[in-house]
Amino acid sequence: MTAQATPLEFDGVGRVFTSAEGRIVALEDVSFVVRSGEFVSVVGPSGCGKSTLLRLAAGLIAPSTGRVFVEGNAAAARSKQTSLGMVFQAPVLMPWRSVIRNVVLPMELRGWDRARAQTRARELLEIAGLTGFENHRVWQLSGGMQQRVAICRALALDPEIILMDEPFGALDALTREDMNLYLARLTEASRKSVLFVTHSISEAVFLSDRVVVMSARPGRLIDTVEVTLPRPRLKETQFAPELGALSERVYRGVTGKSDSEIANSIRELA
Amino acid sequence: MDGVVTTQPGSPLSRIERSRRLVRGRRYRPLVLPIVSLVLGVVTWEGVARWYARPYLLPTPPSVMRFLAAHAHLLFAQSVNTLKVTFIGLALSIGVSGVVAVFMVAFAPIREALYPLVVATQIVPKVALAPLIVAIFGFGVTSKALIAFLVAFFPLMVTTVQGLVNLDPALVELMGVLRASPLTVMRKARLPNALPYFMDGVKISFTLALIGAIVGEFQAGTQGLGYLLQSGISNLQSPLSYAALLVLTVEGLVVYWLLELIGQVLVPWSASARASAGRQERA
Repeated sequence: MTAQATPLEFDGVGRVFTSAEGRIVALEDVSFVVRSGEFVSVVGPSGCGKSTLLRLAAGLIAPSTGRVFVEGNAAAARSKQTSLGMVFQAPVLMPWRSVIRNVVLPMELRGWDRARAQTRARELLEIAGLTGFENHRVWQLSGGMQQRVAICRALALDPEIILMDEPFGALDALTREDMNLYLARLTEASRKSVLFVTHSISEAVFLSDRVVVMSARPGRLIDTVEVTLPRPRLKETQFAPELGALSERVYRGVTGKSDSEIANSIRELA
Repeated sequence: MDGVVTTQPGSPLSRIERSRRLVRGRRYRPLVLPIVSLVLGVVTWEGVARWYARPYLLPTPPSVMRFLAAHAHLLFAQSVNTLKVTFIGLALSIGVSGVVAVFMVAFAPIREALYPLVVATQIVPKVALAPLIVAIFGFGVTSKALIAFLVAFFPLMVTTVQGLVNLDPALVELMGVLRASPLTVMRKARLPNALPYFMDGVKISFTLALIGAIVGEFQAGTQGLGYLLQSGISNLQSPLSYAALLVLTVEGLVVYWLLELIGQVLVPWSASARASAGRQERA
């Protein structure tokens, strides 16, 4: 496709799951785009269909209504040629492969020759600060390191789009902060288009150009917050007053509470 | 330490010191305690054998050991025969269950057509087929290996199917994002995922194949430890039977331990291998 094609577009997307218990409407009439080089986060309460959005974008499932486009083509019909990186909540590494061989996997499936794939994997691991761990077994690494290996794997084919499904949800708070800084540095340098799903409002605001707020089931788009924080995002950015103000607006959207309601619940807590 | 720090009995320090000694002692317990049980077991055997006083049915441990020493060559030669039959049966199990498992997982219609039948045949007590197999295939290695195979095949096939199917769903999704074909998913994800399951299955299958081989030798016996065991009983030569049983046990243990070792080298990522390497599996 041409470079001008929108990396990712949701157009009136709905998704219904049918199970023995009945029909579950996971998503309803969701429309938004991720423009080239943009970092978009999706926040919302549990079960609002955030992960479903990512699976639709990855072409793992098809929408019940509406359309999903990846670089101008239907997401479900994405060919092997249009690569897309995905990072899950768990690292999802192959324990039978060494660190470097996990990163090599996408290139191997694409038929790259071994030397070229190894060189590329080494570069990625170096950026991730994992030089020296190439031949380690993945279970010898800490949770944060494993997730960095998973990010290297997602970047292996230099995809235009990266999908991330609560990638730091399983990490402790300090590691999570480090990972946020690492991801900000990485995406600012590469200008990838990122769709990032998270439970953490401050994480979403810190990393994003835009935060999409969704309602509880059925997941609907209820607010879009433009994040005006300057780039690059640094450690200091986490304590910037604007970040607090933006987080508050997102929080209001997620909880569906007005200012006075929030003030009341704070008073109740006190 | 003991000479330098002197403490009142019952004082806190001496209690700490005592618990330290206990922890130190614990290191040797996995080795010492089984040896103690073994010695106790042999002593009990000796006692019971003397009280029972029918050496043609229950020999004393020394008489078995004497027999073992005197006929080591015979026992060794016959144990090689038994092992040969066991390994042919095991190899057949590995080959057949590997192929059947892969095909059943790869092609749903094959699975649906075969799996219920394979499970149903497991109701048949395979040992009961032994006389029939001997009648058809004669008294040679073929019959015995076939019996070993029949007994050993099923658990290996089941564990291999499990290993091929129990792939982390997120890994399946990852392969989907990479647009991998079903064949690629099989080669790059399902087969390596099944390897630790398969190795566990091989260990179980080996012990079963050994049982099958012995049953075969009971039936079609002119050779093997199973034959020696039985002829020892029918000739009222009990030390022969017990010596054969002892060799059989040691043989089984050694091969099982070797398979365990091969498993650790081949699949260092498997949970059991990691546990024995002293590493905790990360959640």
